[in-house]
Amino acid sequence: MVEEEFVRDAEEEARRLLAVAVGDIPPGIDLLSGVRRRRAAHRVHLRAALAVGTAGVAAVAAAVTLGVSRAPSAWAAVTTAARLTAAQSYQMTMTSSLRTIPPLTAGMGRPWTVSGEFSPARRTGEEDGGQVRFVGGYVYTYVGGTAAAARHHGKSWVKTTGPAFTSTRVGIAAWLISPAGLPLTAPQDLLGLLQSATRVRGTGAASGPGWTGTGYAFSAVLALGVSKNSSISITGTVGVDPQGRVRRLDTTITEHLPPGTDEPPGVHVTAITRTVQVMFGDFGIPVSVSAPPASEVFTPLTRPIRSRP
Amino acid sequence: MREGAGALDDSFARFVRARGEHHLRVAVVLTGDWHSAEDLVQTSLVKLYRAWPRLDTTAGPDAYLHRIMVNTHRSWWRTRWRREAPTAELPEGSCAEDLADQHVLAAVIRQALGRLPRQQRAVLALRYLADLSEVEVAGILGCSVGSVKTHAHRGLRALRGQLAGELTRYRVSETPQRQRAGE
Repeated sequence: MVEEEFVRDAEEEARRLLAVAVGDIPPGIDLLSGVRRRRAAHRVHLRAALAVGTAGVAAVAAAVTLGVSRAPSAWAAVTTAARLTAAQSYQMTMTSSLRTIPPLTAGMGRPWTVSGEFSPARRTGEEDGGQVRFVGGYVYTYVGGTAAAARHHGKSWVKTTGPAFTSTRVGIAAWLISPAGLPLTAPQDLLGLLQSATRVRGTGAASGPGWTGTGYAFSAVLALGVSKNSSISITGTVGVDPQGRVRRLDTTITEHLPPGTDEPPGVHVTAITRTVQVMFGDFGIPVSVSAPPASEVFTPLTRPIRSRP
Repeated sequence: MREGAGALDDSFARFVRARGEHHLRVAVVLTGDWHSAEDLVQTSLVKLYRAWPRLDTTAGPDAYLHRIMVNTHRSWWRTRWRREAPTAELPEGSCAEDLADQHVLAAVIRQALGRLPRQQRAVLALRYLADLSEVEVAGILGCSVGSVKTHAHRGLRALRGQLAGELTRYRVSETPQRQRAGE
């Protein structure tokens, strides 16, 4: 009996460790697109190997064309727009609010707005007047003059890999409930959420300051949130301009908590909801952001480096 | 994806959208980093796609993809195709309340997993992440149930040994994200 309990405990521990180890999936991973690219490349290589001279070149071109020619569905239009937008520089304004049922604090639900500029191609960006900087896949958050600085060896900046919540249940939940989640969120991560959409439909015309285009509604349900038996639902709308860029993204992310999840103790929160609105504009603007001086940066851990021969 | 194969493509795409994240998580335990995990899953999915029309759908494609991933990773390992530079030093001091903690801790555990023998990692991933039975894991890895038990036991013991200090520091006994809910 004792041995059985020991084994059960060990197995539970293994599950817990592995759940943590895989809980920070980075944003932007699109497996399906990757498979399509690889298959297209495979077809091109195959046909190129068979082709000779001009006729061969023509066959390769035809193969490439056939591989991508398909009328875009609403889902394809939205995911393509998300990818296109995340591939160019832009200015954005993001407004977010956090609510729980029942409310945990009196001020809960008050919207919080940040603005910033991003150049995803250069992997740089900044929010909050430069207080949060995104450089080379890292997020530098200014903590100078706050109690947090003392916890970080007196350094003014903390370097992290960011929330990286796209398409990860645990990651989304962490961001969902974290008051610090908003300013650490790059808009391209939010755009990445669209890749998780399971249902997308056109809603007709959409417009905003300086643009008119097409609107879409989307939704997704993730089976499990951060709590056992909870689920996360994502709903929202997207406005896409005639150039195929996302101009407005409204998202509501809700984690539904089952009975028995008392947090804090004695209070049963049935749902946590974060609403986020992002307005995109000024596409193509030059964005210049640099990392803070190394001497002022606290680095919890350097990311593993991978290379191939 | 393939002309004249719309239904096939749709069902495959549905499977990838529904189960891709699960397999990505299994892959990162096998490979140790997200880049290689993405690479491994996509390579394996391409192989799965080729077999998709003749797949026994009643058994579900998960088991088949698990097997492809394990074998593909084994071949990478044998050819030393992928290499990783050693990871940097572990963090000093405690900053358990920081948002970065979950990422740091995840990386620390992945580093520890990366130091385990390949077969132990595969057993831990399939048994405790994919939640397969010992018999199923043995079938995928082509070994006995006894070997699966041994690998699981040794893998977990080694993991514990490597993480002994870190787990205390980061309070992994509770889900770190949930600890922030009351903030």
